[in-house]
Amino acid sequence: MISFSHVYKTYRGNEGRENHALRNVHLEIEKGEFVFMTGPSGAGKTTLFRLLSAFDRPSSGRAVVNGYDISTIPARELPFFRRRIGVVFQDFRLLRDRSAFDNIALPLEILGERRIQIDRRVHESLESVGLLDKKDELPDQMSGGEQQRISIARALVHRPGLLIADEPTGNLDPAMSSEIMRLFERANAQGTTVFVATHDHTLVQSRAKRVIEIEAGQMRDANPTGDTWRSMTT
Amino acid sequence: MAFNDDLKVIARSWRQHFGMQFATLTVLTATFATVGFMICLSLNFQRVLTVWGEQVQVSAYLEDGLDPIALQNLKTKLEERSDVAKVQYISKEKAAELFRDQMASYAPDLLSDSEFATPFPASLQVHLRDSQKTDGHVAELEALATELSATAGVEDVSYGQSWVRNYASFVGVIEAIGGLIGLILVLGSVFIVANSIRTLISGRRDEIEIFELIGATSSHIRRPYIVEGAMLCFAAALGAVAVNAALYSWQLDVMKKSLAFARMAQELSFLSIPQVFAFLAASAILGGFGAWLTVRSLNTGWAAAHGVRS
Ligand SMILES: Nc1ncnc2c1ncn2[C@@H]1O[C@H](COP(=O)(O)OP(=O)(O)OP(=O)(O)O)[C@@H](O)[C@H]1O
Ligand SMILES: [Mg+2]
Repeated sequence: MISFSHVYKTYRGNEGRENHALRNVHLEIEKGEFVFMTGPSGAGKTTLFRLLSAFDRPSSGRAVVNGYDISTIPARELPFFRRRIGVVFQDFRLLRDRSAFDNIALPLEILGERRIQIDRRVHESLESVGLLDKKDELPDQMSGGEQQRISIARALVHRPGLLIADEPTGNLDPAMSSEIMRLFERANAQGTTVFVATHDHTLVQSRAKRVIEIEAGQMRDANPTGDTWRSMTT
Repeated sequence: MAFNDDLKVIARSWRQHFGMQFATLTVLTATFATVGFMICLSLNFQRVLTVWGEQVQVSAYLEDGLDPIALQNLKTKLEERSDVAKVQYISKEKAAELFRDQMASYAPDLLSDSEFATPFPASLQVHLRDSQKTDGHVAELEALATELSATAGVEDVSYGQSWVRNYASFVGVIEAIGGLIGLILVLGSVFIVANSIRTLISGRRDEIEIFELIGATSSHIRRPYIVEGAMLCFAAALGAVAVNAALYSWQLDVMKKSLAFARMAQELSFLSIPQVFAFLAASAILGGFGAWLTVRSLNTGWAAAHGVRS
């Protein structure tokens, strides 16, 4: 499903200084896996996700997702590649002049689903993130946590084969966080590959999932059990 | 995406950028009204030319006392020509009578003037076929006149309204200038539409990025802008037609009076219904094209990576 080898993403600074946001990254994720990624701020998590979802291209190396090489994917096929991926953005990326309902409906509208179908699915989605009563509100009228849940609902509503979530619980209380994790696990149980970046250690510790650590653009697989995680961080 | 959604996008443009949208629409309406006026003018020039062309005829003034057989031969010979529609014999008496009739309303005094008792020569009025109109017509006329003047029994030839030729070339010049101005105005409106769409887009970079990231195709993203450009120009064209129609009906009375002598008033007309539709459609296409020029490089698929250019 995901196969990265020797991937670099290099940003050129103002004085021409090179900054490797990702350096020599190797990553293999199989279809149906549930993977956490942790790492300090600035480690390159968002950068990695941008490559995974073809929102940006690697500077060098080979990045293959869903059978597409991200470097060479034709512009014509980009939209169709992206429709099979659900992304929870760190900054939500909601349309500010559309209601919660319309934001979640967007991926389905793009897929050309029928109106009745869209209404039903969006309602289910809103219900699953506990925001049915906010369906007509605009993003600016909602709290950060509520916007985050809308963005999660939008990422899942079209049942993508791959879900990428960048810090999806950053603005949520522990109860809501576990609720969201349950949503992700349910999607995963239905076959969606899930890849979640988070700072929230308790979230990772309480689940026996594969964990990838990233630091200064380099990554290594941590031992997948929560116990090992605890021993590593202490 | 349905047309309904396009309308929502347009409504939002007006809400968010009322001033700019209004100014754009006004300028476009004025531009299209000018272009429409010129089209109208040109069509009427053409029509007037055609009508005058119909009145143009070659008069072959006959020698006094030409014998009837020679006259009949000449008439038949002319009638047999493929470019001649009709040959009419005007006797001396008829000629004087016609002249008096024509002048009656303009110079009633003349009628009592003894000078005008002077008989006119008898003549053959040669009318050309309909197909020989306007410019080519004049040349045709000239050739026929030259030929006739060399014919026995014909004393003199006139193709009287030779100023039709001057008029034709005048119309030609006017149309060339008008066409040039029209072209500039049309290109100008494409630019205006493109610019207005560019402003709208620059305010919606985030949105375009989000659409792209969620997997909307280019055509999905670009479509509302193209529809918007087309609608803008369609509305402007509608306004332009209204302005011209008002101008036309207001001017018609004036025209009728001032052009009565040339019997032109009944020949003046506004754009026909099909022409109005063609004008509206052409405007809408123009607007869509202007918008397309702006949006065609809008989203490459990597807008989020590079920032949307507009
Ligand atoms: N567009 C950019 N131009 C230049 N440098 C960038 C750009 N985007 C990211 N970087 C740099 O790349 C590095 C990794 O950034 P990234 O956003 O991937 O970190 P992160 O792990 O997501 O951090 P956080 O947990 O704070 O979200 C940082 O040093 C950052 O400054
Ligand atoms: Mg980040």
